[in-house]
Amino acid sequence: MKRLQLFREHRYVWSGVLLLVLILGIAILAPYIAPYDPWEMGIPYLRPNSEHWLGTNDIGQDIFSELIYGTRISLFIGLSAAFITTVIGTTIGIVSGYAGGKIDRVLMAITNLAIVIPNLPLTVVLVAYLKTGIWSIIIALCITSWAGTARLVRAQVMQLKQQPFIKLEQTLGMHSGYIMFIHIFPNIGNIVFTRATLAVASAMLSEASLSFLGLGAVGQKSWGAILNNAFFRNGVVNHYWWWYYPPIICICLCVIAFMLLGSRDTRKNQGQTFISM
Amino acid sequence: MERRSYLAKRICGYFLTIFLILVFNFVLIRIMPGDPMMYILGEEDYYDFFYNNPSYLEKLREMYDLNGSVIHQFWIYMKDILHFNFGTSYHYGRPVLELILFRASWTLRLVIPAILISAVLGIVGGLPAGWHWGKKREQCSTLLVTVLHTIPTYCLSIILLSVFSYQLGWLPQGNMVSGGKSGIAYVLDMLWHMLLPLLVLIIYRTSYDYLILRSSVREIKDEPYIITAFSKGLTQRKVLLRHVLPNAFLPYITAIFMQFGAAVAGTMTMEVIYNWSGMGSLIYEAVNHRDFPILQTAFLIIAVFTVLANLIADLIYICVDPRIRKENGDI
Amino acid sequence: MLEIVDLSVQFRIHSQVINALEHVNLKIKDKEKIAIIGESGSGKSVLALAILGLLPENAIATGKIFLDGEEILGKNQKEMTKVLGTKLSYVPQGSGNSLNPLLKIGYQVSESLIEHKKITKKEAFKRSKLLLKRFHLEQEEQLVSSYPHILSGGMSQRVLLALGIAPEAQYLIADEPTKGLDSDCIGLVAECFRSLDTCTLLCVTHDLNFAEKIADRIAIVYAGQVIEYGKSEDFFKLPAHPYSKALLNAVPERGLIAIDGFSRGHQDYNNRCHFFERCSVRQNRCEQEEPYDKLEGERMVKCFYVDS
Repeated sequence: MKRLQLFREHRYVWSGVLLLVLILGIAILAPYIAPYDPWEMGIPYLRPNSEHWLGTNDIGQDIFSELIYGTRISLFIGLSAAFITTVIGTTIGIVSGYAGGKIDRVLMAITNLAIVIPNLPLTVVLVAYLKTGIWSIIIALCITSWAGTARLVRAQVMQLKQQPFIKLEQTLGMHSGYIMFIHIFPNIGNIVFTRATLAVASAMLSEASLSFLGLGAVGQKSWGAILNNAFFRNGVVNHYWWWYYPPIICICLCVIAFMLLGSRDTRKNQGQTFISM
Repeated sequence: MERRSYLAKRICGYFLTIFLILVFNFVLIRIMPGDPMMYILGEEDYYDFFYNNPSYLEKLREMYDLNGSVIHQFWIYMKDILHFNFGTSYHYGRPVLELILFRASWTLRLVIPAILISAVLGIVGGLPAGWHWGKKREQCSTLLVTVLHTIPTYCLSIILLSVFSYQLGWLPQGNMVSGGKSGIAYVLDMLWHMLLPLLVLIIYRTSYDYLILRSSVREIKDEPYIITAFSKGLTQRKVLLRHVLPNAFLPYITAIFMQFGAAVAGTMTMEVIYNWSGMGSLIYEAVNHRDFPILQTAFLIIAVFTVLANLIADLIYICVDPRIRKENGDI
Repeated sequence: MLEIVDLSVQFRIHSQVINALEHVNLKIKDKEKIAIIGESGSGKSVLALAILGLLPENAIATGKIFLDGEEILGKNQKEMTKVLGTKLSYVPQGSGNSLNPLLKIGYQVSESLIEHKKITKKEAFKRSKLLLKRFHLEQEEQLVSSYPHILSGGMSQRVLLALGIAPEAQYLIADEPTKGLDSDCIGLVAECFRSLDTCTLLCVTHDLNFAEKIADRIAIVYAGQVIEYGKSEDFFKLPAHPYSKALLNAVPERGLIAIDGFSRGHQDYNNRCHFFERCSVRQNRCEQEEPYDKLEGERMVKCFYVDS
C-alpha cells in the first residue's frame, strides 16, 4: 500500500523514468531493433508499407531505422553536454558561494556575462568556427549554459554556509575543499539534479535545432537532421507526414521525459498552504 | 540619493558587460582553429585573396597587425567598432552593419508585436491560473500550455505550415510580401504573410509568460497582505487588480525584458522555415557561406541588445519598486 | 452580539485531515472585550480567520457564526465584503508582510474607508495621519507617503493596529497585536483597546499580562478546543482547568514554572482529554472519554475534575 502511495505521489517522476528507460533501451539496442541500416540506400520516397514502416527518404534510406539510430546521437549529445554543464556550473557555484569575496565577485561577473549572452546565436557562430563534429557541438552547447546552474548553486551554498554545522566544521579547522565536497555538495544534490535534467532537455533541443539548420554533425543520423531532410527536400511541401511528424514527436517526447524526471522538487510542495496557527 | 548611486552602479555594470562581450568576441576568433584572417574577412573573400592576390592578404594582415602585439590588435578592433566599421560582406556586396540593421528591422516587425501580444495574453491566462492554482480547470490549462511550451518553435512552425499552408491552403507558404503592391495593400499583404510566423511566436512566448505569471501569482496568493486586503472587505476583483497584479507585474516585466534577446534569437529557425528575411535567416545564410564578418557582427548586436534589454528591465525595477535599496548592489 | 456555535475547522493536507478547531462555542456580548489565549499552534489564529471568513482554501469549517443574529460562516467572499471593513474589522498579524510592499502606508491604513465610505485619497491620507499619531508613530507626515519596507517590526505592528481600527467597526478581531512590541507600546495598545468602548473586541494573544489589562473575559484554547471560558477577574484569581493553572504559573510574576511535556498539537486524540498526558490531576476516566463543557456559574470548564 505504502509503496503504491509513494508511486502515486511521484507519478510524474516515475512516468519520466519509464519513458527514459524506453528511450535509453532503444538507443543502446539500436542495431538490433532497427530493421535496416539507416545509411543503406534504396528506392526513394516510398510511402509507409509493411516493409518500411515509415517509408523511405529522398535517397531511399529507411526512415524508421533513421529514427532509431537518431536516438543515439540526440541522447549522447544531450547527456554529455548536460554532464559537462552540470559539473562546471556546480563547481563554480560551490567555489563562488563558499569562498566569497574577490573570487566570488570575479566568478559571478563571468557568470552574469554568460547568462546575458544569447545562447543560440553564439552556438551557431561557434559551430561555424569549429570543424563540424559531435564534440564541437557539445563544446558549443556547454560554453554558456552552465551559468544558470552556477548562479542557483551559489545562492544555495551561501545559505548553507550560515548553517551551524558548517560553522562548526570551520571552527574545527577542516580543509575548505573537504567541507565543500563532503558537507555542502550532498545538501545541494536535489537542486543540481533538477538543473541537470533541465540541462539535458535544453541541450537536446539546441542540438535538434542546430541539426535542423544543417549545422549538426555531418553524416550522423539525428532527429534534427531527419527533420532538415524532410523540410528541405520537399517532404513538407508534398505532405509526407510520415517523414516529418515522427522526429517532431520523438524530440518532444524526449524533452518531456527529462522534464518529468526533474519535476520532483516542484511537485513536492503541492497543497502546503497550511497557515501558521 | 541611494537610488541614484545604485542606478549608476548598475549602468556601469552593464557597460562592463558590453565591454566583456567585445573582448570575448575578439578573443574568440583568435583562439579558434584556423587563420584569424579568415574570420575577419569571411571564407569566400579569404580564399579569393589567398589564391588570386596573396600580397593583398598579407597587406591586410599587417593592417590588423596579426603578427604583432595583441594589445595593438585589440586597439584596431575597438577602433573599428567605435567607428561602426564592421566591414563589408563579400557575398552580399554591402556593408555588414547596413545589411544587419535592415534585416533586424524585419525580425523586430515580428518579435515586438509577438512580445506585446503574448505579455497581455500571459496576464489574461496566468493571473486566473495562479489564483485558482490546483483546481481542475487550471490543471488542464497548465497541462496544455506546458505541452505547447515543450514543442520547439521549429517543430511548431513546420506543423502549422504543413497544415494551414500546404494542406488547407488558407495561408501563404512563406515569404514576407508578394511583389508589386504598395500603400495599404502592401501593409495588409505583409500582415497576411506575418500571420503564421507571428502565431508561432505568440504561442511560444505566451506559454512562457503564462507559466511565469502563474507561479508568481501563486506565491503572492499566500502572502499575508492578501488576507489583510480581504479583511478590508475588498472585492476579489479589486484584490486581484490592486494587490496581486502589481506585485506579480514587476518580476513579470523583468522576465519579459530579460528574454528579449532570446526572443530575437528564437526566431532563427522559424525565419528559415517561413522564408522570412530577418536577422535569423541572415545568420543562417552567413553560416552557409562562412561569411564571418556578418556572423560576428550579428552576434555582437544581438548580445548588446540583450544587455540593453536587461538594463531597461533593471531601470523599470528601480523606478517602480520602492524596496530597492543599496544593499543589493551586485551586478 | 458575536456568537460562535459548534465551530470546527479541519485542514486537508494531501490525504491527511488535521483538526485545527473542535466544537468551539463562544458567546460575546456587545462591547465586551475577549482575549483568546493559547500557545502557538493551538488554533487560536484559525478561530480569528474563521470569523472573518478568510480561511485558506484547504480548510473546511462547520458550525455557525452569528454576527448580530446574521449567519456569516456560510457566506461567500462576495457577500462578506459588505460585512468586512464596515462592521467587522481585523488587525493582522505583524510578523511577515501583512502590508502590501508596493502601496503607500497612508493608502493602506485607510483603504477600507476608500472602499466603503468612498472618501477621496487625500482625505484617506489625512485620516491615516491621525490614526498613526494615536499610536505614537512619529513623523507621520513622511510615514504615510512611504512604503512598508522602511518600517521596523514594532512600527509595522502599530501601523496594522491603525489599519484595524480605521473603519471604526463595531467588531474588531485582533491577531497577536502585541507581538514584537516593547512594554511601553504594549501599554499603549492596551490603552487604545480599552478606549474603544463601543467596540466588541476579540483579541488573540499569548501575553497573559496584556490579556489581563484589556479583557473582560478570557478564553483558553488548547489543542483546538476551548477548555476554559469565563470572566477575566475569576480567571486570574482562581483558574479552574489544570492547564490554565499551569499556564498562569508559567508567568514570571508567579514563579515561572514550566508545564511538563509538549502539546501534541492537532492529532487524533481518540476521545480522550487533549491535555491528558501533561495533566497533573489526571484520572483513568480522562483517558476513556473526552470531558464535556462543564458550566460553573458564568464559567465554562472542559474538565471532569474541577476543584469544587
